[in-house]
Amino acid sequence: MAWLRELASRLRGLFSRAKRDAELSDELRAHLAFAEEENLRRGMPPREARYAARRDFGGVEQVKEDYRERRGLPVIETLMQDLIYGVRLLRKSPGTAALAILTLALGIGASVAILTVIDSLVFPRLPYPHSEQLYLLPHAPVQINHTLADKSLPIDWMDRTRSFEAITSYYIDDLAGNLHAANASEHILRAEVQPNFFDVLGAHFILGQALPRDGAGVPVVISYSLWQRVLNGDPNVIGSQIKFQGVPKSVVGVAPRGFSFPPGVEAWILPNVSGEQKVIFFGSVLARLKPGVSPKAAQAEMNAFGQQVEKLAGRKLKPIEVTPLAGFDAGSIRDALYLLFGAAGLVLLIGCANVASLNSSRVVGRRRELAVRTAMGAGRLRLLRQLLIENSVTALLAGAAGWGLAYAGVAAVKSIGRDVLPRAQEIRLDARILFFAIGISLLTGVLSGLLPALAAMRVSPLEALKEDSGRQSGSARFSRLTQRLVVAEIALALLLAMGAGLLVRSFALVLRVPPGYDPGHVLTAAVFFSWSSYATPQAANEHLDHILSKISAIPGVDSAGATTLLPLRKSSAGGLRFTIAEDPSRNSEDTGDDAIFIGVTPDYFRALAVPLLERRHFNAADTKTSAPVLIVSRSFANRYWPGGSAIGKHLLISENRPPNLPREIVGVVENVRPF
Amino acid sequence: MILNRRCPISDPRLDVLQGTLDLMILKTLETMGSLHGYGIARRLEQISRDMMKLNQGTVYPALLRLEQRGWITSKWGTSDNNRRAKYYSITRAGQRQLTAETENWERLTGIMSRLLSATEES
Repeated sequence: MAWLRELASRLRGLFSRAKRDAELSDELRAHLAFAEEENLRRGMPPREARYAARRDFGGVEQVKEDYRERRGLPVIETLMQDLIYGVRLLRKSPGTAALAILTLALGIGASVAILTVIDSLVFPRLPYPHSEQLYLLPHAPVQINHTLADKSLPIDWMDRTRSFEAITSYYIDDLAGNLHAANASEHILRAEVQPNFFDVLGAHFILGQALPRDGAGVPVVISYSLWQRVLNGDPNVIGSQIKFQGVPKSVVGVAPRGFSFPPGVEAWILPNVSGEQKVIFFGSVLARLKPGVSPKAAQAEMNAFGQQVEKLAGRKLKPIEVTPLAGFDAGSIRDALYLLFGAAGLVLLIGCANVASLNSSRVVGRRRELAVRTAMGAGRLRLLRQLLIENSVTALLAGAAGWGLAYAGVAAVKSIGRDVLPRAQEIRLDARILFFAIGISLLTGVLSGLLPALAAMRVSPLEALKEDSGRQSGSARFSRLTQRLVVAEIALALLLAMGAGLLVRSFALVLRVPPGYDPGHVLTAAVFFSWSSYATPQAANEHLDHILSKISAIPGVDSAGATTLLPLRKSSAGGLRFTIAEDPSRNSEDTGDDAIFIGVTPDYFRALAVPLLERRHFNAADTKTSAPVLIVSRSFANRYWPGGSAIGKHLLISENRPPNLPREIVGVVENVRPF
Repeated sequence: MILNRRCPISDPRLDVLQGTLDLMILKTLETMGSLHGYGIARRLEQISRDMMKLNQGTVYPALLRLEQRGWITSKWGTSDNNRRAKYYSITRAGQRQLTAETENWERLTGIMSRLLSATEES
């Protein structure tokens, strides 16, 4: 406790120093007076009495200095002195100062902005308890019942793992999110999840509860945002009805604020397993690791399990990867972000080299000052510290400006990346980033100040003092330093330019690959059909035809088509397996191949200007009742019929609803680039 | 060296041992009650019968140190001959500290004297 009291007292000692000094002088003066009086009483002559008093006391100034050092915090006091001196120097040459600050601010701002994006996207702080134990298991088999395709799969594997506390699965059906509530209709993202989904994530409900295990009452859990936006935060929402695709569901729970998993999902329902219907459940597997089990051990178990499944299925499968949930969706942009961070670091280094050469010319001008101070007994470390602190003032100002730049940069990334980056809205600057910014500012201050300061230290004070103040012949050392800095700068800039050049080049190459269609003059819009609100699928198709014919009738519209999947969009369903009717030995079950099948209307290829390479497009004669037909891409045709023609061959698509008839290939079109 | 010329080895007075000045001041304030800096310094000199080398000024940083730790307090007052001076007195925490330090010191001197008087046989 005593030390704490001492620290507090020393901190107080930093203030009202003049008053405390005066008090000390009074006290010491009183001391000397007492001594003198006593000496006089003992019969000393007046002059002798005063001298004796002084002699017995010792050095008055020395005592005062000791006293002052004890009173405050000398480290802080000299730091303040140096800081104030640094600010004064900056104000003396505002132009140089502004240049240095701007140079460093650019580098600091870029680094901080990119670090913020990395921090939020690659290392997000998930709002789930013990989120570090949550893992995704891509390519793990998902099922909630027997499947049509893999009857042999051990259906209860999720209950039998040793590494995981609990396993659940989810599936986003992005085509089935048409929501009708009391007074609103909108399209939202909806996920089908298993009943234990919320337990695995550890969500505590604001209202109501999780989805019931038996699925009674067609339940739905809604997100906090949906509750607020569409249902106006109605506290009596539990038990009320909302409709999805025309099917009423009753609200059983409201998820906690900020709970949005999978990202963007606003409603959770149970998968549709009614009665005797056994369905395969596409989707992703989410698992919570048992405490104390390492991800490595879990991966080993999954590897063994994967082999078992492969043996049962009799074909090669993609390995199950135990992937941390945090940052899983940053996968594709992670490398790009690291690259950008590296580039920002280079910009910062170049800035440091720039400011270092600015500094070295400034230090040249101050050599006499430094020499005089050395001659008067200032220690080298003290001078070095002062030069570095002066420079840190510049760097901290640059850091503040950089913080502003980073703020603007992050705002720009958020608005540009709204549709591209996962969870872009969660990117934000926080206290940890602020610490990083301050740290990196101080580091740049030291980096850009150290070399000139050390060079200045090496000049002997005698040499510097002898020099005529007007002529500085001995500054060869400094010009050598400046030269080296310039070399370093050019090297760094070259590195940066090369990196940027490579990036631009690969981007240009990407642009040069023909997309397979003409994106010019094409407009797209997304329409989400509530299939169940049509009496028959036929009726829905007729409605779509009606819409397309109306669009085609608009003056200036050349052609209009519809598809289940636009180019550049990722399919959420993945590929389907198929068999070639003419050559059953090339069953894609055996080769592990699959293909993405999409539905299109007859004018789809014409609207996108995808070149027809062989035979014909779809036409009005292709109806629900006519023989089923199919168009394939050039690369598909070349792969399965190299040198021959795909026309007239038949494909049987697995996992299709009955009646599953072979489809005849009636046309071949140019490849449409999927990215 | 300069130091040796000023303080020749023949000077029989003792240096103040590092750390003992605090203890001496605390003890002085305990026995004498409230005292000013000069009073403390004189009292130390008298007790030691001038056998201790003490620059009177060195009591002031020591007084500050003790005050910072909360072991003594100070107050401006007036002396018998009507002179303004700062008076120091020991606090309760200072008294506890004094007890603890005294014990320490006695243990240490006990050890030292046993060590120094020990013969090879014992």
